[in-house]
Amino acid sequence: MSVLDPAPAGAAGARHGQLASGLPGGGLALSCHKLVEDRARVMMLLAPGLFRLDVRPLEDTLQVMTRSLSAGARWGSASTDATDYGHKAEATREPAVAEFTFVAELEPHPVLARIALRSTVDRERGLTHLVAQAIVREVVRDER
Amino acid sequence: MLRLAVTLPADAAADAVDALVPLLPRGVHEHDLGDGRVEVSFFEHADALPTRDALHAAAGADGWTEEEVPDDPLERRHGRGWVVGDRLRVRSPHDPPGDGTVLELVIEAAAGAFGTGAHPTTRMCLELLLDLEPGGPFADLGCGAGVLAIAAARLGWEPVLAVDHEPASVAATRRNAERNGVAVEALELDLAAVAPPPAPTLAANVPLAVHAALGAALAPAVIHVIASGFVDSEREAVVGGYAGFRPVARLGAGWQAVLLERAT
Repeated sequence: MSVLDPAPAGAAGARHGQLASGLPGGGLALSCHKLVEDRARVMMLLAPGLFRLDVRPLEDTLQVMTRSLSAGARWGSASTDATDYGHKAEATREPAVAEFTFVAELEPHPVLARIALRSTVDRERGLTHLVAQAIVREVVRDER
Repeated sequence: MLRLAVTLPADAAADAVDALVPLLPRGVHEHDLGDGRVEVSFFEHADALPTRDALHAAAGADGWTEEEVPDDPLERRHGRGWVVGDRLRVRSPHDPPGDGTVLELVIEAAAGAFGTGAHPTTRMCLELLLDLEPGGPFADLGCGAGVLAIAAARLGWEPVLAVDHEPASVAATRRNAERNGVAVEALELDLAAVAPPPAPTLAANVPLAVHAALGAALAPAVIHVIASGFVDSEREAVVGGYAGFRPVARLGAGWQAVLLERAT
């Protein structure tokens, strides 16, 4: 199984509404959106063999939990597996954005994922609208 | 809508939640019961529930309880409230009352105002508040739903002022003060533009930028500041912004709270 194959990613995240598609030139695009109750930890993205991204809205802040599903992989912009992000009211007139990178040292080429998480609080209903997207591609080393 | 819950030893809860989350699109709630156990719960419609076998395999435990709850998240019982410092319990109107052994605050989360007791910064501020000798004027800056102001009023500070720049928070504070039978004056105020009130005891559970504005504008009458709303990497900047104050207590690992005292 290739980690860039959209079929297993689509199947793995189907219960959560995750969409997976191939990219022109090779690569995988993942996206998911949810209206999430306060204090609920939800899975937003699952790339089999690569990573999982969970999020918990907590009042007007977010807790992001990243998980590597590949040995030796590393996250950027999220140095721990549970990171808190404030998105206080001033920032919620537009969606708050948190961005991450994920690198898995696979053969024959490393795989790089660029992940964006956007959130908007619906205070009247006590819900947070989360949108997560990932673009996953092989990083082909220049052999020249 | 159904609410299913199971109680697990605290050291097993993290792995259980990690395994349950992929099964439950609406998410998983964790509630530390404070006695070495964690209640793990979720909400789902009956026709979308995972099988009991799947829940057992993920959570490693049986004994799930099941109850009907309202569809509206703001109308649901979420747990049993939060006990702070063995002396204070904060709960929503939809949680069951306690046994009366500790002071109890009932805080509604209507309109999503911050500070219902669910956030660790709120609970740490309450813990620091409990360590102070009550008395004299108190101001809750960035009051959200008013829990710190209401706690201060119940503990013996008087008069108590609560300010927030969001009208919904000011309205929620007024409703919650009335619900708890305490006198709290709640006002709409932009702390980034207006100097904070000169109460000897202040609580400020606010973002970094607001702390910077507050620290530069405190009146000489201010003796103690309970400061929170920031993470570890921001603590030094927050504390450094309160010139003439020194930290005398600190709580938290990720989210932080400090008690600042005016240096003599």
